[in-house]
Amino acid sequence: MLVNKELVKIKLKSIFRQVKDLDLDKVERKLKKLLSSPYLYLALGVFLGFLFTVQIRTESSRPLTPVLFYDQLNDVKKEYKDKNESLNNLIKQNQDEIKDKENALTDKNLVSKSLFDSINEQELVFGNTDVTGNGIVVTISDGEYQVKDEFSKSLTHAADLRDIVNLLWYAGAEAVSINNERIIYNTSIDCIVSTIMINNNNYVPPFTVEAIGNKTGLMNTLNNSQKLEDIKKRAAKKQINFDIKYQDDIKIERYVGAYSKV
Amino acid sequence: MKSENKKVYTIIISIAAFLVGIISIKQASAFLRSKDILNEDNIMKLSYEIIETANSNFDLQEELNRLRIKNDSFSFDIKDKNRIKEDLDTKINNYKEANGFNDVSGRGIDIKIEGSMVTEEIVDLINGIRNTKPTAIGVNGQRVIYRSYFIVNKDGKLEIDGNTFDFPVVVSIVGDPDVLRKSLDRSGGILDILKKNSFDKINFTVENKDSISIPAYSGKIDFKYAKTVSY
Repeated sequence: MLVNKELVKIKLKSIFRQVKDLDLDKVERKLKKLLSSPYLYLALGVFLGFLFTVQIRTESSRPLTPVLFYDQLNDVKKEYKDKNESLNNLIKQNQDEIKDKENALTDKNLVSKSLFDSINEQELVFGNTDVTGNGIVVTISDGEYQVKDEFSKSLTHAADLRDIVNLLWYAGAEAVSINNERIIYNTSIDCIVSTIMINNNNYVPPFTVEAIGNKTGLMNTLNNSQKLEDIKKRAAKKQINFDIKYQDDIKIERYVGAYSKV
Repeated sequence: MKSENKKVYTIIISIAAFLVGIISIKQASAFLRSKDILNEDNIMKLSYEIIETANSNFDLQEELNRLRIKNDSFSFDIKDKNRIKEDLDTKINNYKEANGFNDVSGRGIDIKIEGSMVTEEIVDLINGIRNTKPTAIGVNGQRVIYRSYFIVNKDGKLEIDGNTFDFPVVVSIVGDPDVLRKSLDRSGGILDILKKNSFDKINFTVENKDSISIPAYSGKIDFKYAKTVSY
């Protein structure tokens, strides 16, 4: 080890001596010679040519790489989303037409009114009718403030929505929707990669949860400090945005989607 | 002459440096973009979303086809009074089954939950079960409806729609037992996740059943605040 240190010292001294003895005029002459040499420009040209080739190859190979695949996937996703929306609209339209025809039956005395009242009653419970009333609106979305190593806490999770909906039922809500998606008897709220799926439809934040019921009861329950503790803690740290407000005349739209039995 | 040469060299070197700079920046940005796009996770995420939307579209298309047939044949059915009555009775019964107003029985599975859960865990479990779109769900013989709530009290008791139960509890599900088992009781399924997250404090015993009976919801479903919108 000591031998190595000594060797380094000797080497350094020799370098300093060489620098000291350096003939600056000689260096300048050499530099000038180098700059006037055609070989320098030849090497520079080759180097630039190489860089240009790399660049051109990167650009031109784009359609052949998975970048195109990614773009195509995005196109397919958009196409499917549009189709989904159009199918939902067509279902709604057909449901309306059938309902009108059924209503016409009572007008023609072909079916008893009590039978239709029973259907309406069941449809109300099922969530197949638009409903209106007073209640509360809860909004929740991802926060801008992110704490290192707590990135997941600054996101709105499907579990947050499930907890809110469960608490709303506990507080006596009669109808609940999330981003206009009616919660029915078999609704599940699941995280599907970067989106949240509700009734087979994908949603992204912000989420608006509307609930019709005794608005004071709903508000007091949700504001109870022992309920939704995790959400409130994250909201206090500004990791997520969370807000509850009273709302009169909320309109919650009916469920539109696949239910082949009715 | 010397100073002229110097100027030329300076210009040439400046242009070359400028070009090298531009190319380097472009190359770096292209590399970063492709790194993001070619990230396998991103492509997997996108693929998942597409599959889910495609599945949803398939269900919606089936529903639309069914509604179209019903809509188109309505004018023919209208001539047959008995047929109309029959159709509407079936419709009411189907609604009642979904709403929890009818007793339901059939094949399915029982899940016995031992240990104790917190509110969030039981909510996740019911959500996972709902995701399988079963015919009916019951907890200790109590029917789960659309507005059922689940709260685990401080004393560790499970409250469902005003009724309290001690653990262990049994969740009964009517539906295809194979589908239910495969989706709930698999590695990475909801039972597995809950069990692992509780550090094995919760234990689930799943049993296939040839016949399960879940009674109708015994409570009253009131609508004091929500009113149907009439158009």
